[in-house]
Amino acid sequence: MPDPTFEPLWKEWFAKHGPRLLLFARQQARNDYDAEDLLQEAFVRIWRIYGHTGEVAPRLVFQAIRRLAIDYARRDIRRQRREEKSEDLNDQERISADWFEMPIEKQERNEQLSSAIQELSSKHQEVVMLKVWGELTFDEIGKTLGIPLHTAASRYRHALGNLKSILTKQPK
Amino acid sequence: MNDSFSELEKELQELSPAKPTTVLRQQISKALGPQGDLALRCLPEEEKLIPFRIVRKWAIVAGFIFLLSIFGASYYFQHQHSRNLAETPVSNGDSSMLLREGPTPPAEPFKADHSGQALVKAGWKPLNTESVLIELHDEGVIHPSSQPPSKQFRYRYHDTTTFTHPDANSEMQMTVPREGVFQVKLQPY
Repeated sequence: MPDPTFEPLWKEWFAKHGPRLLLFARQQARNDYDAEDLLQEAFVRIWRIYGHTGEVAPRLVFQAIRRLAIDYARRDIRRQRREEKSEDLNDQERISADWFEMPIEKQERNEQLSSAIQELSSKHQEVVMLKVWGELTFDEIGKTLGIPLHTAASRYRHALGNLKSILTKQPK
Repeated sequence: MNDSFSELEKELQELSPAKPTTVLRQQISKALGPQGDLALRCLPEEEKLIPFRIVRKWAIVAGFIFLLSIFGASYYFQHQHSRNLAETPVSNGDSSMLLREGPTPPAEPFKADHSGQALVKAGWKPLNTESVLIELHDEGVIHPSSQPPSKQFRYRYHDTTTFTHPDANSEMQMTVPREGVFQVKLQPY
């Protein structure tokens, strides 16, 4: 067992924030492959700038993911790079595309919620992601998405309303 | 937030996002390279502080024990020195050490005034007497009137006499302090 004293701090940070960042990256990306690339690139960029301090605000990585996602959408060269890299990776591990953990006792309900979230519009999804799992304030969400605070709050309320109506329509 | 949404929010919060794969973590580690280790030296983990606090506590305890041992040792040596001095018999002691700066003390100790006459009258018999030199004090040169100057030394003894009572088949020790003055006449030239 390696001595935890010599464990790089980013691993601890990533173990804590990685899941919510990956969720947001999945929401932003077109597919699961791009999501991981987005997360990796965004995290490495931010950690190289601020990592020496030992603590990085997750909001900065959320913001970087979103900006990179826009770049990815504009450039199609990502596909070529992804195909080159994918040859070296274990495909078995990368197949999993569930956005959330699915414990057996709550699997059915979690699947309903996950499905309902994915039915939301992209604008509503990202606001819900940042608020519920990103644990950002509306002010931070506004800065991350480049929208006013009130717009962020308003979108969130609408998103929850839509989510509720989607869940009501779903067969139980 | 609207109360109608609070239950839904709570339900959403209970959803745990899926964890990144090991492959992704390995890729990030590779991409960060040596820069990933920078924070290791800048900010120690919380766990590392716990041993430090323990060490600090032990350092305080060790310091206290160290001070205590110093006091104990000084007391012991002081006590031991006094006892050695007290137990040094006049006749058998290392006179060269005791009288380094003065003349040899008188071979026969001064007789104590309290010789236990009352005890002798009561039937006690003196077995032996031991004189122990307690202190030697050099009082310097004195100038008695109509006599040549002398160097004066003052001796302090403890005379311990052991008495036995044949009828009661018992023993008793009596210790009497005694002081004597010894003068060495100086030859003026």
